[in-house]
Amino acid sequence: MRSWIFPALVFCASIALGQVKQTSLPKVEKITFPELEQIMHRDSGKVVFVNLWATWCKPCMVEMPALLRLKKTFSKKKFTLILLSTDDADDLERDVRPMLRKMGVGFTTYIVKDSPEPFMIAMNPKWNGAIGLPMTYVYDTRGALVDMMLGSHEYEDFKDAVTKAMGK
Amino acid sequence: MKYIIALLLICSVAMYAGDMKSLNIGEQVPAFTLKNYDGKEFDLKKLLKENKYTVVMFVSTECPVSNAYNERMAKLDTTYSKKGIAFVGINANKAEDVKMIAEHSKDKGFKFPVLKDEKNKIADLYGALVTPEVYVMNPEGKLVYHGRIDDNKKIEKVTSNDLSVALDKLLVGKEITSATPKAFGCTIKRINS
Repeated sequence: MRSWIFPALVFCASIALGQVKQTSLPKVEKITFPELEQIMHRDSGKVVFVNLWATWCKPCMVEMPALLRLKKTFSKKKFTLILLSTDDADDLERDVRPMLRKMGVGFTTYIVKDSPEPFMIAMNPKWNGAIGLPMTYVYDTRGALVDMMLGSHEYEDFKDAVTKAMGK
Repeated sequence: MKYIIALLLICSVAMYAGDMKSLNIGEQVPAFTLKNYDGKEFDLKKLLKENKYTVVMFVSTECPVSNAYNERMAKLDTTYSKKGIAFVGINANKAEDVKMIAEHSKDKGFKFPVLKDEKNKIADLYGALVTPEVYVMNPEGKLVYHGRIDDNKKIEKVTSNDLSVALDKLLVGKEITSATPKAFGCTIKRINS
Protein backbone atom coordinates (compact mmCIF):
# COMPACT_ATOMS: atom_id res chain seq x y z
CA MET A 1 0.00 0.00 0.00
CA ARG A 2 2.67 2.44 1.12
CA SER A 3 4.83 1.63 -1.88
CA TRP A 4 2.53 3.49 -4.29
CA ILE A 5 1.31 6.31 -2.04
CA PHE A 6 4.62 8.18 -1.99
CA PRO A 7 5.21 8.12 -5.79
CA ALA A 8 1.57 9.17 -6.26
CA LEU A 9 2.03 12.11 -3.90
CA VAL A 10 5.22 13.11 -5.70
CA PHE A 11 3.39 12.88 -9.02
CA CYS A 12 0.48 15.06 -7.79
CA ALA A 13 2.85 17.59 -6.27
CA SER A 14 4.84 17.86 -9.50
CA ILE A 15 1.64 18.50 -11.48
CA ALA A 16 0.54 21.12 -8.98
CA LEU A 17 3.94 22.82 -9.06
CA GLY A 18 3.92 22.70 -12.84
CA GLN A 19 0.57 24.48 -12.87
CA VAL A 20 1.81 27.10 -10.46
CA LYS A 21 4.84 27.65 -12.68
CA GLN A 22 2.60 27.89 -15.76
CA THR A 23 0.16 30.35 -14.20
CA SER A 24 2.95 32.48 -12.78
CA LEU A 25 3.97 33.42 -16.29
CA PRO A 26 2.67 36.91 -17.18
CA LYS A 27 -0.53 37.15 -19.18
CA VAL A 28 0.00 38.15 -22.80
CA GLU A 29 -2.86 38.83 -25.21
CA LYS A 30 -2.52 38.54 -28.97
CA ILE A 31 -3.96 41.69 -30.51
CA THR A 32 -4.59 43.46 -33.82
CA PHE A 33 -4.22 47.22 -34.25
CA PRO A 34 -7.98 47.95 -33.80
CA GLU A 35 -7.81 46.01 -30.54
CA LEU A 36 -4.84 48.08 -29.42
CA GLU A 37 -6.83 51.22 -30.22
CA GLN A 38 -9.66 49.95 -28.01
CA ILE A 39 -7.23 49.32 -25.17
CA MET A 40 -5.82 52.82 -25.60
CA HIS A 41 -9.29 54.39 -25.64
CA ARG A 42 -10.04 52.58 -22.40
CA ASP A 43 -7.28 54.72 -20.93
CA SER A 44 -8.38 58.00 -22.47
CA GLY A 45 -7.59 60.96 -20.28
CA LYS A 46 -4.27 59.40 -19.39
CA VAL A 47 -0.80 59.70 -20.83
CA VAL A 48 -0.22 56.44 -22.66
CA PHE A 49 3.14 54.89 -23.47
CA VAL A 50 3.06 52.12 -26.08
CA ASN A 51 6.42 50.41 -25.97
CA LEU A 52 7.25 48.10 -28.86
CA TRP A 53 9.84 45.51 -27.96
CA ALA A 54 11.05 42.02 -28.85
CA THR A 55 12.91 39.29 -27.02
CA TRP A 56 15.72 39.39 -29.61
CA CYS A 57 16.20 43.14 -29.11
CA LYS A 58 18.95 43.74 -26.54
CA PRO A 59 18.36 47.51 -26.18
CA CYS A 60 14.69 46.71 -25.45
CA MET A 61 15.77 44.59 -22.51
CA VAL A 62 18.14 47.31 -21.35
CA GLU A 63 15.39 49.94 -21.15
CA MET A 64 12.61 47.74 -19.80
CA PRO A 65 13.57 48.16 -16.10
CA ALA A 66 13.32 51.94 -16.59
CA LEU A 67 9.81 51.55 -18.04
CA LEU A 68 8.75 49.31 -15.15
CA ARG A 69 10.13 51.85 -12.69
CA LEU A 70 8.20 54.55 -14.53
CA LYS A 71 4.98 52.56 -14.21
CA LYS A 72 5.59 52.28 -10.48
CA THR A 73 6.43 55.98 -10.09
CA PHE A 74 3.29 57.08 -11.92
CA SER A 75 1.01 54.34 -10.59
CA LYS A 76 -1.25 56.88 -8.88
CA LYS A 77 -1.11 59.38 -11.72
CA LYS A 78 -2.86 59.45 -15.08
CA PHE A 79 -0.40 57.18 -16.80
CA THR A 80 -0.60 53.82 -18.58
CA LEU A 81 2.20 51.67 -19.89
CA ILE A 82 1.35 49.25 -22.68
CA LEU A 83 4.04 46.72 -23.55
CA LEU A 84 3.57 45.34 -27.05
CA SER A 85 5.84 42.53 -28.15
CA THR A 86 6.66 42.40 -31.85
CA ASP A 87 7.94 38.84 -31.61
CA ASP A 88 6.35 36.22 -33.79
CA ALA A 89 3.14 35.16 -32.03
CA ASP A 90 4.29 31.54 -32.38
CA ASP A 91 7.13 32.33 -30.00
CA LEU A 92 4.84 33.56 -27.24
CA GLU A 93 5.16 30.58 -24.89
CA ARG A 94 8.76 29.71 -25.68
CA ASP A 95 10.30 33.20 -25.60
CA VAL A 96 7.97 36.07 -24.74
CA ARG A 97 6.27 35.00 -21.53
CA PRO A 98 9.46 33.61 -19.94
CA MET A 99 11.29 36.83 -20.83
CA LEU A 100 8.54 38.97 -19.29
CA ARG A 101 8.74 36.90 -16.13
CA LYS A 102 12.52 37.28 -16.09
CA MET A 103 12.11 41.05 -16.39
CA GLY A 104 9.63 41.06 -13.49
CA VAL A 105 6.56 42.06 -15.48
CA GLY A 106 3.48 41.21 -13.48
CA PHE A 107 0.73 42.88 -15.48
CA THR A 108 -1.06 42.00 -18.72
CA THR A 109 0.94 42.79 -21.82
CA TYR A 110 0.33 42.27 -25.54
CA ILE A 111 1.84 40.71 -28.64
CA VAL A 112 1.10 41.58 -32.27
CA LYS A 113 -1.22 39.01 -33.78
CA ASP A 114 0.27 39.14 -37.26
CA SER A 115 3.03 41.46 -38.39
CA PRO A 116 4.25 44.54 -36.46
CA GLU A 117 4.22 46.70 -39.59
CA PRO A 118 0.49 47.56 -39.70
CA PHE A 119 0.74 48.72 -36.08
CA MET A 120 3.65 50.99 -36.76
CA ILE A 121 2.16 52.47 -39.90
CA ALA A 122 -1.21 53.02 -38.25
CA MET A 123 0.35 54.60 -35.18
CA ASN A 124 2.10 57.23 -37.25
CA PRO A 125 1.06 57.23 -40.93
CA LYS A 126 3.28 60.26 -41.62
CA TRP A 127 6.43 58.40 -40.56
CA ASN A 128 8.56 57.99 -43.65
CA GLY A 129 11.52 56.19 -42.14
CA ALA A 130 12.24 52.62 -41.17
CA ILE A 131 10.84 50.92 -38.12
CA GLY A 132 13.30 50.07 -35.39
CA LEU A 133 13.17 48.71 -31.89
CA PRO A 134 12.75 49.65 -29.18
CA MET A 135 10.17 52.26 -30.05
CA THR A 136 7.97 54.04 -27.54
CA TYR A 137 4.97 56.00 -28.77
CA VAL A 138 3.91 58.71 -26.33
CA TYR A 139 0.27 59.86 -26.35
CA ASP A 140 -0.92 62.82 -24.32
CA THR A 141 -4.10 62.96 -22.25
CA ARG A 142 -6.13 63.85 -25.37
CA GLY A 143 -4.82 60.77 -27.16
CA ALA A 144 -2.58 62.70 -29.54
CA LEU A 145 0.79 61.23 -30.48
CA VAL A 146 3.34 63.67 -29.06
CA ASP A 147 6.62 61.77 -29.19
CA MET A 148 8.32 58.75 -30.73
CA MET A 149 11.24 57.53 -28.69
CA LEU A 150 13.39 55.37 -30.90
CA GLY A 151 16.22 53.34 -29.40
CA SER A 152 17.00 52.56 -25.78
CA HIS A 153 16.25 55.32 -23.27
CA GLU A 154 16.99 56.04 -19.63
CA TYR A 155 14.46 56.44 -16.84
CA GLU A 156 14.91 60.22 -16.76
CA ASP A 157 14.15 60.47 -20.51
CA PHE A 158 10.89 58.57 -20.00
CA LYS A 159 10.00 60.56 -16.89
CA ASP A 160 10.53 63.83 -18.75
CA ALA A 161 8.40 62.58 -21.63
CA VAL A 162 5.53 61.67 -19.26
CA THR A 163 5.75 65.01 -17.46
CA LYS A 164 5.75 66.88 -20.76
CA ALA A 165 2.81 64.86 -22.11
CA MET A 166 0.88 65.57 -18.91
CA GLY A 167 1.32 69.23 -19.72
CA LYS A 168 3.33 70.05 -16.64
CA MET B 1 19.35 74.88 -16.14
CA LYS B 2 17.85 71.49 -15.26
CA TYR B 3 14.77 72.32 -17.32
CA ILE B 4 16.85 73.50 -20.26
CA ILE B 5 18.79 70.22 -20.27
CA ALA B 6 15.57 68.23 -19.99
CA LEU B 7 14.02 70.22 -22.83
CA LEU B 8 17.09 69.72 -24.99
CA LEU B 9 16.96 66.00 -24.28
CA ILE B 10 13.30 65.77 -25.25
CA CYS B 11 13.89 67.84 -28.38
CA SER B 12 16.88 65.75 -29.44
CA VAL B 13 14.88 62.55 -28.98
CA ALA B 14 11.96 63.96 -30.94
CA MET B 15 14.26 65.13 -33.71
CA TYR B 16 16.03 61.81 -33.83
CA ALA B 17 12.89 59.73 -34.09
CA GLY B 18 10.45 61.99 -35.83
CA ASP B 19 12.37 64.46 -37.91
CA MET B 20 15.39 62.56 -39.17
CA LYS B 21 15.40 63.12 -42.89
CA SER B 22 14.57 60.05 -44.88
CA LEU B 23 15.24 60.04 -48.62
CA ASN B 24 12.21 60.10 -50.86
CA ILE B 25 11.69 57.93 -53.92
CA GLY B 26 12.99 59.77 -56.99
CA GLU B 27 15.41 61.83 -54.93
CA GLN B 28 19.11 62.00 -55.80
CA VAL B 29 21.05 59.96 -53.24
CA PRO B 30 24.21 61.34 -51.64
CA ALA B 31 27.46 60.08 -53.14
CA PHE B 32 29.99 58.33 -50.94
CA THR B 33 33.33 56.58 -50.96
CA LEU B 34 33.86 53.96 -48.28
CA LYS B 35 36.31 51.17 -47.64
CA ASN B 36 35.46 47.49 -47.71
CA TYR B 37 36.68 45.33 -44.82
CA ASP B 38 39.64 44.26 -46.99
CA GLY B 39 40.72 47.88 -47.45
CA LYS B 40 39.46 48.24 -51.01
CA GLU B 41 37.72 51.52 -51.70
CA PHE B 42 34.22 51.65 -53.18
CA ASP B 43 32.89 54.72 -54.92
CA LEU B 44 29.12 54.85 -55.28
CA LYS B 45 29.31 56.99 -58.43
CA LYS B 46 31.46 54.33 -60.12
CA LEU B 47 29.12 51.53 -59.01
CA LEU B 48 26.10 53.38 -60.34
CA LYS B 49 27.78 53.96 -63.68
CA GLU B 50 28.86 50.32 -64.08
CA ASN B 51 25.56 48.66 -63.12
CA LYS B 52 21.91 48.69 -64.16
CA TYR B 53 20.93 49.20 -60.52
CA THR B 54 22.81 49.38 -57.24
CA VAL B 55 21.43 47.95 -54.00
CA VAL B 56 22.79 49.39 -50.76
CA MET B 57 21.91 47.38 -47.66
CA PHE B 58 22.55 48.66 -44.15
CA VAL B 59 23.51 45.55 -42.22
CA SER B 60 24.86 44.41 -38.87
CA THR B 61 26.98 41.54 -37.61
CA GLU B 62 25.03 41.38 -34.33
CA CYS B 63 21.44 42.33 -35.00
CA PRO B 64 19.28 39.17 -34.97
CA VAL B 65 17.03 40.57 -37.69
CA SER B 66 19.90 41.42 -40.00
CA ASN B 67 21.47 38.03 -39.29
CA ALA B 68 18.20 36.29 -40.11
CA TYR B 69 18.63 37.71 -43.60
CA ASN B 70 22.25 36.65 -44.20
CA GLU B 71 21.40 33.74 -46.47
CA ARG B 72 18.73 35.74 -48.27
CA MET B 73 21.13 38.62 -48.89
CA ALA B 74 23.81 36.27 -50.22
CA LYS B 75 21.25 34.60 -52.49
CA LEU B 76 19.88 37.90 -53.79
CA ASP B 77 23.42 39.02 -54.59
CA THR B 78 24.16 35.76 -56.44
CA THR B 79 20.91 35.94 -58.41
CA TYR B 80 20.91 39.59 -59.36
CA SER B 81 24.61 40.31 -59.81
CA LYS B 82 24.35 38.10 -62.93
CA LYS B 83 21.65 40.46 -64.17
CA GLY B 84 23.69 43.63 -63.78
CA ILE B 85 22.64 44.64 -60.27
CA ALA B 86 25.35 45.40 -57.74
CA PHE B 87 24.88 44.66 -54.03
CA VAL B 88 26.77 46.57 -51.36
CA GLY B 89 26.48 46.22 -47.60
CA ILE B 90 27.16 49.09 -45.22
CA ASN B 91 27.81 48.60 -41.52
CA ALA B 92 27.26 51.82 -39.56
CA ASN B 93 27.00 50.36 -36.04
CA LYS B 94 29.48 52.05 -33.76
CA ALA B 95 30.33 48.88 -31.83
CA GLU B 96 31.06 46.74 -34.91
CA ASP B 97 34.57 47.19 -36.22
CA VAL B 98 36.23 46.19 -39.49
CA LYS B 99 37.60 42.96 -37.99
CA MET B 100 34.12 41.87 -36.91
CA ILE B 101 32.72 42.75 -40.32
CA ALA B 102 35.45 40.79 -42.12
CA GLU B 103 34.92 37.68 -39.98
CA HIS B 104 31.16 37.88 -40.30
CA SER B 105 31.24 38.36 -44.09
CA LYS B 106 33.62 35.45 -44.59
CA ASP B 107 31.67 33.24 -42.20
CA LYS B 108 28.38 33.97 -43.96
CA GLY B 109 29.88 33.59 -47.43
CA PHE B 110 29.05 37.12 -48.58
CA LYS B 111 30.38 37.79 -52.06
CA PHE B 112 29.32 41.43 -51.88
CA PRO B 113 31.45 44.05 -50.10
CA VAL B 114 30.50 45.25 -46.64
CA LEU B 115 31.75 48.79 -46.17
CA LYS B 116 32.45 50.34 -42.82
CA ASP B 117 30.61 53.60 -42.27
CA GLU B 118 32.74 55.18 -39.55
CA LYS B 119 30.79 57.60 -37.35
CA ASN B 120 27.61 56.62 -39.24
CA LYS B 121 28.03 59.56 -41.62
CA ILE B 122 26.44 57.77 -44.58
CA ALA B 123 23.63 56.35 -42.43
CA ASP B 124 22.90 59.93 -41.37
CA LEU B 125 22.96 61.20 -44.96
CA TYR B 126 20.57 58.46 -46.06
CA GLY B 127 18.42 58.62 -42.93
CA ALA B 128 18.98 54.89 -42.44
CA LEU B 129 17.65 53.83 -39.05
CA VAL B 130 17.65 50.05 -38.88
CA THR B 131 19.33 46.89 -40.09
CA PRO B 132 18.52 45.50 -42.54
CA GLU B 133 17.38 48.53 -44.53
CA VAL B 134 17.67 48.63 -48.29
CA TYR B 135 18.10 51.41 -50.85
CA VAL B 136 18.03 50.79 -54.62
CA MET B 137 19.40 53.37 -57.03
CA ASN B 138 19.28 53.70 -60.81
CA PRO B 139 22.43 54.61 -62.81
CA GLU B 140 21.61 58.31 -62.42
CA GLY B 141 21.72 57.91 -58.66
CA LYS B 142 17.98 58.37 -58.17
CA LEU B 143 16.34 56.37 -55.41
CA VAL B 144 13.88 53.85 -56.86
CA TYR B 145 13.22 51.62 -53.83
CA HIS B 146 13.69 52.03 -50.09
CA GLY B 147 12.54 49.61 -47.44
CA ARG B 148 12.61 45.97 -46.52
CA ILE B 149 13.89 42.81 -48.19
CA ASP B 150 10.68 40.92 -47.50
CA ASP B 151 7.90 40.80 -44.94
CA ASN B 152 9.17 38.34 -42.36
CA LYS B 153 12.29 37.67 -40.35
CA LYS B 154 11.42 33.98 -40.47
CA ILE B 155 12.00 32.80 -44.02
CA GLU B 156 9.28 30.13 -43.82
CA LYS B 157 6.70 32.85 -43.09
CA VAL B 158 7.57 35.20 -45.93
CA THR B 159 4.58 36.07 -48.08
CA SER B 160 5.93 39.08 -49.93
CA ASN B 161 9.41 39.19 -51.48
CA ASP B 162 9.33 42.95 -51.86
CA LEU B 163 12.92 43.59 -52.91
CA SER B 164 13.13 40.86 -55.56
CA VAL B 165 9.70 41.82 -56.92
CA ALA B 166 10.93 45.40 -57.21
CA LEU B 167 14.20 44.37 -58.88
CA ASP B 168 12.38 42.12 -61.36
CA LYS B 169 10.09 45.02 -62.28
CA LEU B 170 13.00 47.40 -62.73
CA LEU B 171 14.88 44.92 -64.91
CA VAL B 172 12.00 44.77 -67.37
CA GLY B 173 11.68 48.52 -67.41
CA LYS B 174 8.62 48.81 -65.21
CA GLU B 175 8.25 51.49 -62.60
CA ILE B 176 7.60 50.70 -58.96
CA THR B 177 4.30 52.41 -58.49
CA SER B 178 3.24 51.08 -55.09
CA ALA B 179 4.66 52.55 -51.89
CA THR B 180 7.80 50.70 -50.88
CA PRO B 181 7.30 48.77 -47.64
CA LYS B 182 9.08 50.06 -44.58
CA ALA B 183 12.16 48.32 -43.26
CA PHE B 184 11.88 46.73 -39.83
CA GLY B 185 14.81 45.75 -37.65
CA CYS B 186 17.33 46.75 -35.00
CA THR B 187 18.13 50.42 -34.66
CA ILE B 188 21.57 51.42 -35.95
CA LYS B 189 23.75 52.18 -32.94
CA ARG B 190 25.11 55.62 -33.73
CA ILE B 191 28.04 57.49 -32.21
CA ASN B 192 25.64 59.99 -30.65
CA SER B 193 23.23 57.37 -29.25
